[in-house]
Amino acid sequence: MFFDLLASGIALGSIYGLVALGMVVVYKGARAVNFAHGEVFATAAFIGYLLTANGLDYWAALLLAILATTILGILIERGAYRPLADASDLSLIIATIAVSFMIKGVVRTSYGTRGDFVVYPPIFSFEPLIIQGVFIQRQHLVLGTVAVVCMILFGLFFALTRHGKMMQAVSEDKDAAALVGINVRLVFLWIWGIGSLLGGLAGVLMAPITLVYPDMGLSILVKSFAAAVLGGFDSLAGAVIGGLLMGIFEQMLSGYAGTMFQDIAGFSVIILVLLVRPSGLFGSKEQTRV
Amino acid sequence: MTLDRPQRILRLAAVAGLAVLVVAPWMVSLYKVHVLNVLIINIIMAISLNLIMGYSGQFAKANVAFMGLGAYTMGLLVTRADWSFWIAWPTGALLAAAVGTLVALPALRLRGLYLAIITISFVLIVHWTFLHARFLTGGASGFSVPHPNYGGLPIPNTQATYYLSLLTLLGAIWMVRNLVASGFGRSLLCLAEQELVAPALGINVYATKIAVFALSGLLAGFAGGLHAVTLQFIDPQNFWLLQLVIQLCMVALGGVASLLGSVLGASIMTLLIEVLRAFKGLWEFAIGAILLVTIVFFPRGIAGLIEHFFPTLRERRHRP
Amino acid sequence: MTAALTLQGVSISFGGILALDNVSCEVPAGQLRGIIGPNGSGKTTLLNVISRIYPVSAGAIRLFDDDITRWPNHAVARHGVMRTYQRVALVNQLTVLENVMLGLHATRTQPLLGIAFRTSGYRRLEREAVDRSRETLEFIGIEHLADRKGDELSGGQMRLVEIARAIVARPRVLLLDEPAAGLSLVRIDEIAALVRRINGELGVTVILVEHVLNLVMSLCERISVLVSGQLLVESGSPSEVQEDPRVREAYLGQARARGHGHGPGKGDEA
Repeated sequence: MFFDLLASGIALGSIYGLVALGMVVVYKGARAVNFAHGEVFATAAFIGYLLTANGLDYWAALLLAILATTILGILIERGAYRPLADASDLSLIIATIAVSFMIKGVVRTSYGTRGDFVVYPPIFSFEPLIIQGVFIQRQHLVLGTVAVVCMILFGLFFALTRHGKMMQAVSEDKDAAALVGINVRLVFLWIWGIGSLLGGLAGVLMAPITLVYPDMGLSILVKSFAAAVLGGFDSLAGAVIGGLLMGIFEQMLSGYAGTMFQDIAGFSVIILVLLVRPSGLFGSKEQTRV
Repeated sequence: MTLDRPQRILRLAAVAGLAVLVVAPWMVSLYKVHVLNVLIINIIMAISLNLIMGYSGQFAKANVAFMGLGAYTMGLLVTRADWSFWIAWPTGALLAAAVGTLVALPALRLRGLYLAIITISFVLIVHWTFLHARFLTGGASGFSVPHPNYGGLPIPNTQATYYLSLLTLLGAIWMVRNLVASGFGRSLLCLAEQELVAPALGINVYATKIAVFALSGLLAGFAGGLHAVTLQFIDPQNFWLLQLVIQLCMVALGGVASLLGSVLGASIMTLLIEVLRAFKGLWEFAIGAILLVTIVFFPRGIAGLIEHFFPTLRERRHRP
Repeated sequence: MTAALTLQGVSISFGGILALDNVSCEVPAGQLRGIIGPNGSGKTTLLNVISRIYPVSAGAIRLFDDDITRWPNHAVARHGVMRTYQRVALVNQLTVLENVMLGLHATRTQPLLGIAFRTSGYRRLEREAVDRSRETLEFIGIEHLADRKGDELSGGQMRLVEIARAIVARPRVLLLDEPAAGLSLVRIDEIAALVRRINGELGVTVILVEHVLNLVMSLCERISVLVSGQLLVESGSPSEVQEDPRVREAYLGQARARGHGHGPGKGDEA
């Protein structure tokens, strides 16, 4: 049972990690916490559902859905972030909350007469694989693998490519980056686009194992936010590890103590971790300066 | 003290608004009395949240949990232990204040996002407890709460509860107005803007934070009790993240660090949600759009806009 | 003469780097002491240690008869140590008068119940606070700014308001962190005259950290020189300090290293 739970925990955790990674990318790059990130996730799931329901192949639907959410991220940058780039943190947070309301309103209206919950067509049959005596859902296997591959690809992109390095430079010091000729505004678009891409990807990956519904964004947002905080919020690796820890812990607790504990498992851990380490597991300590 | 023209107009508007609220229960349908009652409770909640978020600049978001604790404590004491509402209600509020003090302790070390997530976690855990401690709370289906016993008061219970809320609101506004226009209020603003400088001015940052959390918890606790008797029902869904976000929007829309802002923000949001209740997607979009426009063009909300055009309406920070 | 402030072997390190290394000195009550030193020599750190923003790694700090080494920082302020900052730190949501009233926190506890119910006792306290703050603004000569907001002032005015906030509670020791930074010559003279009056008329012990050497030389009776976290000169008269070859070497060395011809420039240090 332990390994079954571990496997599903890793699968679920890699989704949290992906969503958290999207938030951390935006936070590191643009110093903004994107509270609309959960809605980006939900939008991707819904678009993916519409496309597959209309006969498109799962993977084609996935590509189109994450393309749509990338554009959504760019729109958020233009509409809510750019006008507020120099405003207070609180203003920025409120602005992304406002955007999340707007997106949710549009998505909910688009559900129309479909009802509040729709079922995403599964990619595979529900019959689990049994590897060395461990039960693994095929869906979980795909989900975990894709998530991990994407994280690795993203890590390589960030560390090796020119655009990745430009994003790093802007996140370190945007004025200095502008001085050396980097088009900071364009990089911000990239950052928001990629952040949303990651959130959208997680949405379409997750959709087949859960229901799709207009309010699905809030709980994933909070869990991933928690995962990011657990990891330290300004650490890319921390976001992924935080997500995995959240997922594993959730599954373990729900497996051994009862499913009712699944919803708060992660948050109890957060409280404990923050009481001991006020900047998360891998976060850099804030410096006090007068 | 002499008042200038905008100040006189504001005072007149406040008196007129109050007069409307006083006579309203006899002019409109019971349902509308109920909506107004919820509006009044929302204003108290917005003030409670603004104290922590606006005035003292702490990213703490535990207020709906305090509200829930106030409601459940009151409700359980009345239905399970046969306490009188009049004792159970303040007991619930005091409990919420006490828990607020406890939540303040980690807040002494945590800042910004970390403080936000630990308080959100707290909200989720409290909500979860309401949901799963079925033997006590009735779980997801909640439980009914009777009207308070108004003794020989010659008016119907709904109106009586409404006036009780109104009186509580007036008391809260009066007290918070006194507090923010004092050395305490000034030290809160100093915490918000210059937290590192505060102790060098002799401000005990720990004590001040604990005081403001307790105060905010007390207000939310009272509001929670009122909410329960207004709905005559306690439902855990009323003390969840969505309410938290809506209250955050009330504060941001109305204006941080402003009582007038709390009143306006809570009123507008409540009425908007009520009018568009049947069209959930539409109200979400409308609220989002209004909030976005407000925050982009008037970062200090409606109150900031008013102060911009009428500087003398700025909230006072000292009143000798 | 009693010592207002005594530092005994004070050291502090950040991430393994010694910012202050075994600093010992004594400032007698009523003195106007200057602290100079090249950029990054630890001057602001010294003030932060005295006002207890940073805990010391080793050593002891005494304020008159009290050992304040382990005190919480608000307690140090309440016992009469007030300060200003290199980067002015006013509260912009408050008016000038209200900013100055903040300085009175050092002398009183806030009676929360009295405030909430607006008792006559509290209102008297608040009236006194207004009166004392106005007097302080008059003492400095900026009473006309009383109702302006913090962010509506010029740089020089902000500095004066910050000084007003620091002296309204009549501190025993006033720490000034580069009050002349970024000001014109005329303004610097005004600041000099003000510091002299605070020291002379109010009898406040002043410790002045400053880059503008002329100001320190003309204003201070005694000067300490801090170089690389160590006290090169514990306490010397202006002429002694000026003629000390080691001091000149410390400044010149830095100027040479930076390739500049002139002495210490503007800089900021944490």
